[in-house]
Amino acid sequence: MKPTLEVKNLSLSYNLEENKPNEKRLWVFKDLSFQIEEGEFILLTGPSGCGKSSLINAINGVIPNLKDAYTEGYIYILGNEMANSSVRERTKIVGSVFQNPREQIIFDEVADEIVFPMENLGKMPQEMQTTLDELLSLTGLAKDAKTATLSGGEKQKLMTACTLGMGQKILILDEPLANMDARASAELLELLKKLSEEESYTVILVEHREEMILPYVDRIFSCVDSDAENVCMEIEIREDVEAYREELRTAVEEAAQKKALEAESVQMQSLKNTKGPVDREILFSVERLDYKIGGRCLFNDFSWEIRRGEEWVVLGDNGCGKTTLFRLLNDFIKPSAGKLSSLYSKKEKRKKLGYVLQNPDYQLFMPSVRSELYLSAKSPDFVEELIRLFKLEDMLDRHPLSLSEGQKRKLGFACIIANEPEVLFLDEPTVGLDTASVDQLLHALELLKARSKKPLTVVSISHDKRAIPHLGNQFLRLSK
Amino acid sequence: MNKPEKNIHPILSLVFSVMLFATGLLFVKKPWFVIYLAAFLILLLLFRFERTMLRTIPFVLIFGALTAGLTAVNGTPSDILYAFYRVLALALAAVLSISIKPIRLVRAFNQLKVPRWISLGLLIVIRFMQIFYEEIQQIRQAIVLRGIRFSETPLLWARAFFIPLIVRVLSISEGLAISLETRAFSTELEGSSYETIDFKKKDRLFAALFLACLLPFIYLSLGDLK
Repeated sequence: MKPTLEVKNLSLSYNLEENKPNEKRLWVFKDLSFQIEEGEFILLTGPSGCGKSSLINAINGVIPNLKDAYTEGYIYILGNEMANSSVRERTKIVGSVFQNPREQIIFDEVADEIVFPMENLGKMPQEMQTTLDELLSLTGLAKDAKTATLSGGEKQKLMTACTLGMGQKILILDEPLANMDARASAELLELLKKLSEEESYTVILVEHREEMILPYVDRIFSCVDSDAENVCMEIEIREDVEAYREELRTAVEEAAQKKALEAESVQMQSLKNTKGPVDREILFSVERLDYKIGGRCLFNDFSWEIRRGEEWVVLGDNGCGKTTLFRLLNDFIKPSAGKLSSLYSKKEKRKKLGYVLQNPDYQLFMPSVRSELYLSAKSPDFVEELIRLFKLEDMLDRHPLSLSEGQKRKLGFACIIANEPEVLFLDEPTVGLDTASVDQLLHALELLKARSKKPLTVVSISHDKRAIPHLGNQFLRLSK
Repeated sequence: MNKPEKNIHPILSLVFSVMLFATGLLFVKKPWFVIYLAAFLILLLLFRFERTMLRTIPFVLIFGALTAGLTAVNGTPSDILYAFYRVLALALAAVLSISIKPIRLVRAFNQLKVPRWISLGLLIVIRFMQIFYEEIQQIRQAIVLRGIRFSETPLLWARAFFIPLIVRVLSISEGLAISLETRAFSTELEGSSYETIDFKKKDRLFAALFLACLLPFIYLSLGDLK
């Protein structure tokens, strides 16, 4: 029996010159070969920027049809050679869910977005209605909800629903859980497992938060550094999922011990730096706040206080208003009713508050990583420290927007904390980051705390279990 | 519940919008232009277009004042009035077209066998304008968050505005293209329609009343020509 998907001697390089000798090319991967059988659930994992997305884009045809890259080798899907076929050809068999769902939404309303691919496939209205109802029930999205008012996680659910509605038997999902809350993530994973077990769907899922996915997967494709010259990564295939899980657990425990030691030393430094008793003044006060958008009531009679030095993590299901709360506190939107006051004036907020956005693309604009970091930095020493910590030494002269998503996220974070704010707002800072990068980010936060003249106040939004315990010690759970 | 104005057939709305725009501009200097405006205002109110009409008020006030102001530089009082009337005619026509839900228009076009690259192209252009506006808002907020002020460092502000804007627009264009391709969109295949957009009784009534309002004014206008 032929495998569902077979990759044979597949090589990919972003050096586009056709005539360039192969030995002079820098390869993302070279001579990659593997087979995936019908009904298998595969986890594709590896560090940020290692080439996971390049591999799945080569499989679904986005590379080289819509994104330029030089490729060699063969891809067989259901026994047919597909390396030279169009995205449209492959879409008949392979369903894809990409990162950045916001960029893929076309329609105003949720139902129209979900039925669009089904219309393209020529499905009958009754069939579309049944599938739509099932997908709405699965995702918890409202049929007539406006796509513009959906949260990041809800947009991700929407794009996943669009793909599931097409019913292809091979599904490739690139970090579909990145912005999803724990419940929605578990529900999606259960569904994918059910599809693979009962209906023989083949699932390839890219995800960094391995501990969440491991109970569901049959095999792990781990992207590791390649030993070969001019090749960035190769794939290690692990079939012993339990053993891998055990290794992961040991690695996490060791890292936690190391982190505890580091945190202790940073805390000692922090104590030395703290001048006088801890100031507990109220920085933000929210009293009986109401906020409505697009007919949805996100906050009703909501009250909250943030005091100096507090470390809050805002939790809650997708679409409950976490980012909206940050936008309210930063004066980007006004409450429908109630009182919102702050110790800082509007002008002071721009100088003393730091806000790391979900999407780093908005905050990067300088010609090089170096100039971006030094733009509003208070101390060159701290910038140097951040460069070393985030391993940016080799990228200082590159354009910030040429970095990988994970690298941009770390740079965006470093730029904001280099300004040494008194209050730091972090909106999903660890999305799409591998565990090593999450550790770097948390360590940078500890360094900032150690440097701060006044106790640093941190307010974070996160769904990431790896980061939540380290981001704060007080929790605000919002509900819909 | 759907807003009432969504119930008018999208192609009817589009055609009547164009007719209102053309006749409005033609009749602007007629002594009965105010009656013409009032007749269509009442018709639109009868068919519950009041929410969309309210949305056009800022446009009328801003552009009305602007065009009237520019005309006032070397125009007569009646020129100023006609300039303002033109903006009113445009706003009246816009009420019908902006009330169209883009997806209903696309589905109606598809039913009429209009090529999908035209109907969906139109939809994406409409959607892109909306995304473009949202992106500008996001970038402006990001600039504020990095403490950059136009009054203090205008060049840096311009850089912080245009670089992310260009990058985002390119990224969204690429995202939309990939999104269409991987969701089986094809200009060659016909596809199906989730919702059938039929001409309903309400559409026929609206069309009849619309023409009943318009024809007398066309007749009057032709009489003036004679």
